[in-house]
Amino acid sequence: MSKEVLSKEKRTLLFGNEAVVRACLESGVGFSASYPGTPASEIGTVLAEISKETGLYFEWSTNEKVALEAAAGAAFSGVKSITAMKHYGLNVVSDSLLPLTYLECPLVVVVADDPGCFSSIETEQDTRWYSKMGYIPMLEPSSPEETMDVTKKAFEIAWKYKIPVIIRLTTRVCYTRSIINLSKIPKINSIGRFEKPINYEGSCSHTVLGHEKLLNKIELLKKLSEKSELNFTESGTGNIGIITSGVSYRYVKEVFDDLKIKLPLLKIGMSYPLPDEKIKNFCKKLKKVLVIEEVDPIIENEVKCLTNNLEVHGKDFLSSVGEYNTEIVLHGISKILNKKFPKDIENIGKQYNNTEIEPRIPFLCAGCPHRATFYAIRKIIPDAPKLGDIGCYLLGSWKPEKIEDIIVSMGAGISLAHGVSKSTNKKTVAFIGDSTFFHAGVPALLNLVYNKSDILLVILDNRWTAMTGHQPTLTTGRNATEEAKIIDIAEIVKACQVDNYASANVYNMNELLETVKDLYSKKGVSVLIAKGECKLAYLRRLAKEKKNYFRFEVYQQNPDLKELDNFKCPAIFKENGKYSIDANLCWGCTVCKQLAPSSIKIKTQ
Amino acid sequence: MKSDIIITGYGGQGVLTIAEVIAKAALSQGYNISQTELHGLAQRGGSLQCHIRISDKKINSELILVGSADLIIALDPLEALRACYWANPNTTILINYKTSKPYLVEELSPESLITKIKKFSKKIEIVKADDIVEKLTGNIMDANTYILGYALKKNILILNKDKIWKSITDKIRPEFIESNKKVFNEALK
Repeated sequence: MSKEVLSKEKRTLLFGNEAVVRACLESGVGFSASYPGTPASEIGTVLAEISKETGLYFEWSTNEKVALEAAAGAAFSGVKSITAMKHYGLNVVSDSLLPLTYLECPLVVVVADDPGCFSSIETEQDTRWYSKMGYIPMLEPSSPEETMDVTKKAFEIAWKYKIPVIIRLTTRVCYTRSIINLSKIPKINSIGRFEKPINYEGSCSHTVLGHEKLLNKIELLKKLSEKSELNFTESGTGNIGIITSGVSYRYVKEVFDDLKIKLPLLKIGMSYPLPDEKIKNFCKKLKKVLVIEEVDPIIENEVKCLTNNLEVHGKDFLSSVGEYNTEIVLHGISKILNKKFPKDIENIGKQYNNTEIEPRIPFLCAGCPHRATFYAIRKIIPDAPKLGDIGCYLLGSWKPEKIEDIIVSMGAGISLAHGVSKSTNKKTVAFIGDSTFFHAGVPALLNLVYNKSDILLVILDNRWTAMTGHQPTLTTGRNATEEAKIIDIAEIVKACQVDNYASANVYNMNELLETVKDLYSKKGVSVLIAKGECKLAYLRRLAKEKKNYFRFEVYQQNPDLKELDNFKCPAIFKENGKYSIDANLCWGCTVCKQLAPSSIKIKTQ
Repeated sequence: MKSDIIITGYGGQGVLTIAEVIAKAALSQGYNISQTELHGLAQRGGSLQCHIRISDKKINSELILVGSADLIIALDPLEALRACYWANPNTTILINYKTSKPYLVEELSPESLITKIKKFSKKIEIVKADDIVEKLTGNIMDANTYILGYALKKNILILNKDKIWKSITDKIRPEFIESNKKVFNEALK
C-alpha cells in the first residue's frame, strides 16, 4: 500500500484512506495515533508502513481515546498531529475531545462513518451531530481527490483558529480509489516545544469563559465557511435546487448527466459551521429545494430554519437509513421534478427483486482458534447466558455458531454478563478478544472482582487485531513500527486478583475442555485465557517463510464423525451422510482429528 | 472509451486483487479510473463486489447505476447472479464455473444459477478456470490470472494485455510469476 502513498510521480491511484496519509505528509504532520476500526483502519495501517521512512511518528494506541489524547499532547507541543477512527470510536473519544475544543487544541480528527453498516455492528450514527454538541468544525469530502484537499485545509483551520477539526469520511470515500494529483513532501517536523494552553485559577470559571470564547470562535469560523471554496454553488436552470454534501454530490452529478438536466446546486463541504448567508442566497430564487445527504437530516433541518416560503424536501423523499447510490438519488430527483423514474431501469430492479438469491454471510475461517473455543464452551456450558464483544468473534452471534446472545460495544460484554449474573443468580459467560480486553476490558474485569461477581470470562488471545486487517496488539510482540514487549494477559488477570484463572491452548481440545469445566465449576470470577494465534496471520507467516503445513482428510466413515456437526468447520462437508474435507480450505488446525480420531488422518499428497 | 465493470465473488477469492490489477493497467493506459470496494467482514467469506469505471471522460460517481454495467466478472456463479442487479441484456457476464461446495449456502447447481442469470443477459461467457488451472499448475490460486487472460482474449476486457500482465507481476510475489505466466499465456491462446 505504502508505495503509492510515497509516490514521486505527479499523480497516482489512491484510496480515500490513503489520500488522508498523503495529505498528512504534504502538510508536514509529525505525530499520528489511531486504534483500528473499519472503514478507517487503513489510515493507521499505511501510517505504520511509512512511519520509519518519513519520520512521521505513528502508534497504534490501546484505544481511540488514548490515541486522541496522545495526538493532543503532540499538538500542545507544537507538532502537527492527527488521529483517525471509525464513527463509534468517536463515542469513546468524546469525553476528551469536547474539553480539547475549550483548551484550543489544534488537532485533526478523522472519523469514518459507515452508512449501510458494511463493517459496523453497533450503530449507523451520523458523526455530524458531535459538531453541534461540541462546537467542532466539520469538513466533508466527497471523493479521494477532495479528501486530499480537505485534509490539508483541516490542518490550516486547526492551526489558524486553534481548534480541533473533524474530517468526516464515509465508507464509500474511504474505499474508492481514484487518480490523485500529488505535491512535494516537505521535511517532517516531529519535535516541538510544549506550551501550557491555559492558566488554571483555582476555580472552574475558566470553563464558562472557555465556552464563551468558543462561541465567538465559531462565529469567526462561520465567516470562513461563507467564503470557503469547500461550500460552492453550480449554476443551473429552473426554480428547483439541490443542496448536497459528501459522496451524494457525486451521485447528483451522475443523475444530472443521465437525465441531461442541470439544476442549481449547492455543495456543502464544510458542514459545521454552515454558511447561513450562502444558503439563504442560494435559496432566494428557488421555489423548492431537495437536500441530499446520507444518514440524518442535519443540513435539511438547518435549511428549514434559515428559509421562509420555500418548499424544503429531504428525508421525506430519501431515507435516513443505509448508504445512498445513484438510483436512490435518481428516485429523489425524479420525485421533486415530478418525472417518472426511467422505465428500463425500474424493470431491471423489479426483475432483480423478484429473483430469489441466497445470501452469503461471513463466517469464521477454517482453522480459526475462536471456533475451537466456541465448541468447548458450547459443550460444557450449554445453557448459561453468553455475552459477546467486538472482533472476529462477533461472528459467534450469527449462524452457524449462534453462541453469543448480545453484542454491544468494545468491552461491554463483561459488565453485561456481570449484570445478568447478579440478576439471575447464574454464572454467566463473557467473551472478549485480546485487543478489546486491552481497549476497554480491564476496568470491567476489576469491577467483577470488586463487586464479587460470578462469571466465566473467556479472553480470546489470538495475538492480533484480526478483523480490521491484522494490526498488531499488545500480545503480538511488536507495536506499529518496531518490536515491543509482549504483555502477558495472565499476569494482568492475576494482578486484578480474580478468584480463578487458567490459560489453555485451544488446539488441544482435551486440555481446553478440562480447563473450561474446572473454571466454570468454581464460584466467583473465573478467567480462561484461550490461546491460539489467528490462523490467517500464522499462515501468512508460513507462506513468507515458504513453509508448508499438514492438511487432513476423512479416510473412514466412522460414527465419531458425527461430533463434527457440533464443530461447524467450513472445510468439512457432509453429503448424503458422508463426510469430507475440502483440502483447499483445510489449514490443519487438528481439532477435527481430535474429535474424530478413528476417521480422520493427515492427508497424503 | 467507457467501460463499467463489476468484479464479484466472496471474501478470500481475490476480487479486490483483480480490481486493482485492472485499475492500474487502465491508469497506465492514461484513462480516468474510479474503483470502489468493500472491506471488513467480506474477508471472511461474505459476498463482495467491486465497481471499476474506466473512461476517457470525467467520472462522476464511483458506483455503477442499476442495470448499467458493461461487464461483470464473477468468480462464482451465485455471486454472478447477485451482481445481475447491474446487468442489462447487453452486459457481458463472465462466470467462473465453480463447482466446489459453498459453506452455509444451500447447494444450487451452477446450471440452475446460470439459467437464472440468462434472464438478465444472454451474453454469457463461462470459464472453468479452477479445473484448467489445477491441471496446468496444480494451484487454483492462479485461476484469477487465467480469468483475466480469458477476458482479454475474448475481447470483453478492452485493455492492453501487456499492461495487464505488468499489473499482475507488480502485485504477485516473484516466486509465483512463472506459474502465472504459464496460466496467462494459456488463457490467451
